[in-house]
Amino acid sequence: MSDALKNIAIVGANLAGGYAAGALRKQGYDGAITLIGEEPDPPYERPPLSKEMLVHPDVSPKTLFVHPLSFYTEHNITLRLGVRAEALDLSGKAVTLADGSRIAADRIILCTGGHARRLNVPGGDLGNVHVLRNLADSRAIAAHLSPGKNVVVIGGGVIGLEVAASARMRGCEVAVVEAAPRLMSRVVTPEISAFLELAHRAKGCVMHIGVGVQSLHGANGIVRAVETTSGVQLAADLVVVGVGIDPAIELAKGAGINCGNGIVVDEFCRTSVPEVLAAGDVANQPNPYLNRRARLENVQNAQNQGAAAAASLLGAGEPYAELPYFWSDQFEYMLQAAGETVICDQAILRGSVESGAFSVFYLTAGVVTGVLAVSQPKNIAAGRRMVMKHSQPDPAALADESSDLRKLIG
Amino acid sequence: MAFVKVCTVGDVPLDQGLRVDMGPEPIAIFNLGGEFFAIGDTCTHSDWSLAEGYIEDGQVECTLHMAKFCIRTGKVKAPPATEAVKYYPVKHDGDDVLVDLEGGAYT
Ligand SMILES: Cc1cc2nc3c(=O)[nH]c(=O)nc-3n(C[C@H](O)[C@H](O)[C@H](O)COP(=O)(O)OP(=O)(O)OC[C@H]3O[C@@H](n4cnc5c(N)ncnc54)[C@H](O)[C@@H]3O)c2cc1C
Ligand code: FES
Repeated sequence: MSDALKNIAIVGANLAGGYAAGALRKQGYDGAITLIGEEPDPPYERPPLSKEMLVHPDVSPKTLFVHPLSFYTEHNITLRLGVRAEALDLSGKAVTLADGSRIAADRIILCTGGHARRLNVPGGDLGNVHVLRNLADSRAIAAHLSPGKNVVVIGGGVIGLEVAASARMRGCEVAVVEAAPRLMSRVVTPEISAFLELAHRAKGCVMHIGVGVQSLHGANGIVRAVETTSGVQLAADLVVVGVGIDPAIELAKGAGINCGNGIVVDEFCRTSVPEVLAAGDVANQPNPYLNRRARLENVQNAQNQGAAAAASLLGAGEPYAELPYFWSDQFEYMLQAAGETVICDQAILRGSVESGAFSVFYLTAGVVTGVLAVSQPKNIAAGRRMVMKHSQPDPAALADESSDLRKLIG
Repeated sequence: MAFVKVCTVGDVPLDQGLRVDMGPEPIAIFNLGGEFFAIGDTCTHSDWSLAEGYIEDGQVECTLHMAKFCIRTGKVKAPPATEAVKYYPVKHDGDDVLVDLEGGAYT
């Protein structure tokens, strides 16, 4: 650790930023740490925002805040919340904030995440059209969900489908509009898309797949209908837009840091500027499991990459190698997936899709490269280890539900 | 100290867990290479049974979001959980596994 290292600023006070701050202390760094966040809240978990907080708005989730506020005091981490960082002043060793203050910084970790994309169509800015990224968005959406309300969800990705399921569970009439030919097409195979489509239809969601949104129509500034590219008008009291995020690269770009689908970092989370590192949804890093660069958008990555960036900053880093992993809860189905779950040359089904609880192992050249499970969490634990160990199990044994998966890891 | 029988040795296969709901909170009994341990069964992150978890290197990994807990102490070994579960004293009487259900404590 260099003697000159007295001040570390972390921009973005959510998962990656929060874990980075905690990890700096765990690694023994005893200088100043300032965690700067535009949102008013300390680091919290976003997964409940589209799930239990919409279904049960009156019950607070068991874990919302990553740490109690006392954690930051005990670890001498200064929180600067509710204020936006405006620029990185690298030569002046500081981060400048929107309120005019300057935070001294010998090193900076950017954990700025992403901005939810809005709809760029006529009427896209009407009232009761929401994106879902933060606590305020979730609360606003939850307040609109009541039996019989017409909810149109735009986007059949993870967030869109979770909102659709939650709204349906609250008794709303739900329609989903997805422009791609199938659901969650970036992260699952056509077979899984078909399973999800059927599951949502069976629960009464109306699925418009392969159609785009032409425009939104309103009255008195409030949305009333969504018009699809096929000319259908869908009644809407509430529209939730779940069409992905744009990585928040403004600060990095402004400081001349190399960007391109996120902030470009190496395996040690280092950007093109030596004093600045990046982690979480915003970081674009080579991934050894996917054999390409990837910008992962999930909890596991945000927390572990945040901690990895902290270790790397202190010179204790190892090349970061995270197996991509995500989960999603939709109705009673618990979907979990790890590794490469789209491209493969063999997909081995274990269990029956019709039963609503099954697992799929994805093999390339005989090696397990991905695993997906619906309501079979135990199989994910074994499957992840197969991917990490490049296992080459006998496909017939994988498919046989009576086999012990742990014995197939090898 | 009131040790009660919660199961027999044969009920918990090697490197597996068993959920027992007889005391103030459900507990998970683990068999680590023939040695038995008991910790609180409910993951402190969300509500999920740790007895269902994946056991490796003396730790149990919650199968929901992959938090890890030390089976001997109940301490958190990997996020997203941040709070420990309790550990419980365990005794053997022949083939019976006995746990002090009132004796749960944090390390
Ligand atoms: C509704 C929802 C449900 C999800 N469900 C799941 C799930 O089930 N499983 C899963 O694995 N993942 C899920 N995710 C994804 C997961 O939440 C993200 O991957 C994770 O939050 C990323 O953490 P992060 O810290 O990198 O970025 P973010 O969480 O985006 O945090 C970045 C923070 O930086 C702040 N910031 C940005 N720019 C500035 C600036 N200039 N100055 C100050 N502050 C700034 C932002 O305000 C924000 O608070 C979900 C996400 C959402 C929105
Ligand atoms: S419930 Fe155990 S890790 Fe989330």
